[in-house]
Amino acid sequence: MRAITALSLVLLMTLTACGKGTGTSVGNFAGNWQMTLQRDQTNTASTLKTESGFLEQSGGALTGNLLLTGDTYCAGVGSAQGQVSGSNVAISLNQIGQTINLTGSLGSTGSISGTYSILASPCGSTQVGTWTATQVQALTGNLQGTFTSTQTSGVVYQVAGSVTQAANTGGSAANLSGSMTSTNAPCFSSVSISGSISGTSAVFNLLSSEGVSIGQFYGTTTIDASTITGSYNFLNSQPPPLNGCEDFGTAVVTVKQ
Amino acid sequence: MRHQGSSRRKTAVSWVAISFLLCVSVTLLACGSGTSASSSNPLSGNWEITLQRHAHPSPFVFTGFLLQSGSSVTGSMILGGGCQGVGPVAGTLEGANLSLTISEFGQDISLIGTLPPGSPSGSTFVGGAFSSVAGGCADYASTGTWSAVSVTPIAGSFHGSLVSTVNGTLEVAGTLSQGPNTGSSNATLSGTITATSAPSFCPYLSTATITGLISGTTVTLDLFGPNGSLIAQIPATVTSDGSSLTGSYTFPEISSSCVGDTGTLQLTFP
Repeated sequence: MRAITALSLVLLMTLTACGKGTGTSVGNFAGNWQMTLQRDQTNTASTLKTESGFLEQSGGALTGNLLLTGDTYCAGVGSAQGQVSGSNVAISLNQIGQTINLTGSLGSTGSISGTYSILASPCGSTQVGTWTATQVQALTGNLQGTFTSTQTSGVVYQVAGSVTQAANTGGSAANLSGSMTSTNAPCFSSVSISGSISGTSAVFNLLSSEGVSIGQFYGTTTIDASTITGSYNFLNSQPPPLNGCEDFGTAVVTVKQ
Repeated sequence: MRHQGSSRRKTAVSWVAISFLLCVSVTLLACGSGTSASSSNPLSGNWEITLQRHAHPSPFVFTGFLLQSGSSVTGSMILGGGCQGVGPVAGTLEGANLSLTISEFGQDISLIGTLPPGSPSGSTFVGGAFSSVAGGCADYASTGTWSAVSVTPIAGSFHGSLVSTVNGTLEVAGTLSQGPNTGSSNATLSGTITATSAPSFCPYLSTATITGLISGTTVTLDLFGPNGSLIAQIPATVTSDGSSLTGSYTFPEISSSCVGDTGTLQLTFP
């Protein structure tokens, strides 16, 4: 019995040791990030690249996937691998056709800043520059919004509901779910929300109770995920009882946790 | 007596130890078990996924194979969106709740859905909703609904006909089998085909071996004659229940009086 007990303790200690960090204090880089890359010797919006997506952290190791858009010939999703040492971070982004190497440090405000480099590739010539990253809070809470129709002047209606952001799985986007109601909207009274968020880009798929996609709302959220500003459209050509209805315009939605 | 008691205790301890080791062995072996399709892995198989986009009348169609292992789903799809190629698929099935991400490299498409009770392969799986933020494949956010059909594996004997535009009808029979699901965007096909009716004036086909590929309901068949030469490449489609295959064939010239032939191929399983 003593031998079995001793063996069990050894196994338990071994299993417990699995996944432990190195003991060094490291910053928390896990979450949804919105990054901006500014090429050196330029200072215009047209030379900005953006990366958005989720990082997971295990001890000092970072993994995830980020979506590259903006000033690039090779937009797309790439995998991220990185190392954290204290507040310093080094991330290698394996984008389509090129690798982007980022080094930086976590500031007191929770944002990251540093420098990046890209070697010459089919996507373009060698370039260096600076980057900043801001962590976007989870888009979860009760929502209220105002939809202003562009199609029909003077039509303004209010919505209320809730939205929940799914867990961080290290993907370029996380799922959103929820529901939304309105007492004065021309095209719906109640819809369910199925959507995605990557960085500050969010999109809601608005579904009828029959599961039909009757509208969408897409926009940009603030980094504290308290406000989404964007556009909406309803293009529902369904026959009764869904009753087709078309409308488009702008919307501002606030989210309170 | 004391010695006999000690011996019994040792024997008992040995049995306990052996039982423990057996349990551990069985558990470890179970960890590495295969991922072939079964009723407990309803998502493993050949799928055709259709995305009906909000505000866009033309759907996106993705085809390929999924592998399910427990709650984990992986696979590859031939992309039907704004970015062409083959992309990996990853997801989870937690209870009846399905979440899949199709990576188009240019952007990811998130699909969620609910698995209907008792949904077997070969039936329409009513999907759910999809969404994608703007990315490298499309510079606008995309939303809509999706549905997926599981395509039953092609297997076994068939009979059918080649209906020529000029050379009459040739009855055929044979066998065709689908290779294993490896989570790739396609699976291999292999078999044989033999003419069973009286040969036409131009004997373009008497007997041939078949190799091919299948992804979703899309099939390509290559027919090789007895001397190993390629005698026809046939693009085709198969019904989702795997019972019928339809394609169009073209035979090249085989003599000065038989300058080639075109027509349709119809096969029925079994």
